[in-house]
Amino acid sequence: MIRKRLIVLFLAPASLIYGGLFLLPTLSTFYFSLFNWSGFGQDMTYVGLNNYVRLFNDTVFWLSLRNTLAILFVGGFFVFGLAFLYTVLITSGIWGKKFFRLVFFLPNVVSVVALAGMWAYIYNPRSGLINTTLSTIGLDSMAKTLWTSPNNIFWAMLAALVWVFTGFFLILLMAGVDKIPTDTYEAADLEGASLWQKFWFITVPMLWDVMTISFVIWMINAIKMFEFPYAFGFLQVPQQLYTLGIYLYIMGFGQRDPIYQLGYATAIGVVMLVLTFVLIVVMRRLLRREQLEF
Amino acid sequence: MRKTVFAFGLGTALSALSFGALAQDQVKLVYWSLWNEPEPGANVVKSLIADYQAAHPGVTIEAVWNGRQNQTTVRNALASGTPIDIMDADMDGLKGGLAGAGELLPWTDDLAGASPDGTGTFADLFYPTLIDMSANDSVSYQIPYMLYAYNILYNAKLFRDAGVTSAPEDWDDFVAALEKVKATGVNAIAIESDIAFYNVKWFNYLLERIAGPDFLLKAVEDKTGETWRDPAVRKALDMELDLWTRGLVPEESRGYQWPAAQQTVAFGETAAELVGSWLPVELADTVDEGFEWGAMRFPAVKGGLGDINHVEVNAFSFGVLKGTKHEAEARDFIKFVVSAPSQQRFADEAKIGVANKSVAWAPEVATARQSLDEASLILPENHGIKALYPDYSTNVYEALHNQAFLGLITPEDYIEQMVSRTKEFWANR
Repeated sequence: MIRKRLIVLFLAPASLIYGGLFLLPTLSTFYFSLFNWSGFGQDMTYVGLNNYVRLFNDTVFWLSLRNTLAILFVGGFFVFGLAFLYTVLITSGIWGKKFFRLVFFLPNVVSVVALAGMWAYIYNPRSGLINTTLSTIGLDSMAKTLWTSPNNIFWAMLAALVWVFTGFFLILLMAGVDKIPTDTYEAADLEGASLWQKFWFITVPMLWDVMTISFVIWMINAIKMFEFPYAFGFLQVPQQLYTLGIYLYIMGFGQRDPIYQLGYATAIGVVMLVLTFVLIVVMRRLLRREQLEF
Repeated sequence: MRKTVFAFGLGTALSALSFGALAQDQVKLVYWSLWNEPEPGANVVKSLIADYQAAHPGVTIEAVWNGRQNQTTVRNALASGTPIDIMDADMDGLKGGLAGAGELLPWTDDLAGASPDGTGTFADLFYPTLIDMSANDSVSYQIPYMLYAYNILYNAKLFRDAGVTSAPEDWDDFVAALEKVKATGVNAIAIESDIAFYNVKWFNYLLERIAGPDFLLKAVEDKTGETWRDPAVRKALDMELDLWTRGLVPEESRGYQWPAAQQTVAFGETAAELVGSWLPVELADTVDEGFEWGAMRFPAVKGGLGDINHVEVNAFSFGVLKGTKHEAEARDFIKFVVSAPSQQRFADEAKIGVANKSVAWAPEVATARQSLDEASLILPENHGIKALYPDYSTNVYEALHNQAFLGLITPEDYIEQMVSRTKEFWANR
């Protein structure tokens, strides 16, 4: 009994902080989404579900949702594709495992604004790294590609985003791979298994839990994606780069334009929350497997 | 001994009393600023604060440097009960934000009162129509102090080298002048592809020159959206797109992200850019010594209803928060900042335009000032829609224009989308 009380006592401060600083604001978000509110003063007008009806009829909301889903699925495909590829290569026994791990992780310790600025220079049509390199190796027609033109800017941003995030998930996956007993691979080597077979029949099943949690982390990151595309847009984020997070910010905080529709912005926030919840539940059901013990 | 103790006690008590009275008289004004601390404008504000404090020993001013999204930061701070006396922001932003929400104190009586320099009223200090333009329902809640004119800013030497010695006043002459510049081997016009609010100025001006200053607001407020089918819209679009077709705007501009294009102006590779008169300050560290800036008014269009002397501007304004406990001191400090000597310091040291019309601007922006002196009408950002319908201005007007301007959608698509998105805007409102 005393032990139980002690547990409650020890949990109480954290629970109160979590409840007060996270759960309560989350619940109040639902409440504020039912109002028209500029955020100035206390004057709020109850509008019921009108903000949600408006979202349904809002072209920019659908554009932002489409971009967010493109980041989630297309970006996710490349992030995990590359992370798996590098995991296999780096853990295959090559020299400098720690060095490569550090190199791939490095973008994660640099400020997002600095990274976005660096990519703006890489993509610069005249003096950028990509076009000057292409020009140097004689690919003059490709060197004229305008990577940040309105048609290409989203994909240019996504490529940079994949570069940033791959290292993070590489570290997670490699940590999982390091836990797999080496004798499993040695046995596979004795049986003459190829690199691919070892990856597919040993690494993937034994990495399942790490993969699942990595997918969940990516999903949450992708749905709330804000910082990188916002910094990439810099002075005025082009609509081609709008994600749900950016649209929420524009409508609620307005950059320099006095939009200030905080009620509507919180409705976008609620949609993001519901979307995250639904997708995580669906994904966890799809990825549910019997746990391997090793 | 007893006398000594008494005298000491009395002295201590009097000191405490006088200190208490002093503390009571001491006023601390809290000013939340749109400047970033290292900016030249912030340095001028700092020096003005120091001077004001020296002249008013009972007043101290605490500045918080928040940058251009200051109003949003102020909003959040007010919601948490932070006391703020003075703040500043874009004029249109304030009009649609704190002023519109009734969070600022009115200036009606002060503006009608005597000017600090004793000539005319306080309102007379400012460019004509500037105060009216900033008002909400005819009541002024803000005092403008910085002023930027949207002109075609250009490298005067490059134009001279091309044989263009006077600023063209008509669109055809303007295009002909740009062709001459292009023929000398430099690019004529700089465009930042990602800055929609720069690019939309081409369309704003052309629409104004063709259909008059009221057309844009009329088109936005037409709930059917059909005004966007007016031939003036198509004509304005065709005229600005013609700049691309003629190669006056280099093709690679479609991929320029700010500040890539303006850097080409600084390096003398491009001759001109349609932008606010802040450009010479932004490029001050990049241009060669002796770089000769010019600013021309946006040219007229033959047979159009607009006028070459209608100039679009952007301004920064001060507001006094209604929750201030030091209203008199806050107003007094703002009057000090907009007085001629203070404004002259902004013009000389930060080289930016000011709202006080008696002040001479720095040589780099002197021609921009001339366009304001000659202006018969000063127009707010996006002809008022930025303040009145900011979400439309950002999400519909500027965004779709940028797509059309950069060739992502055709002029026909643009018009159809403007019609449908205007209808959508009003249906959702």
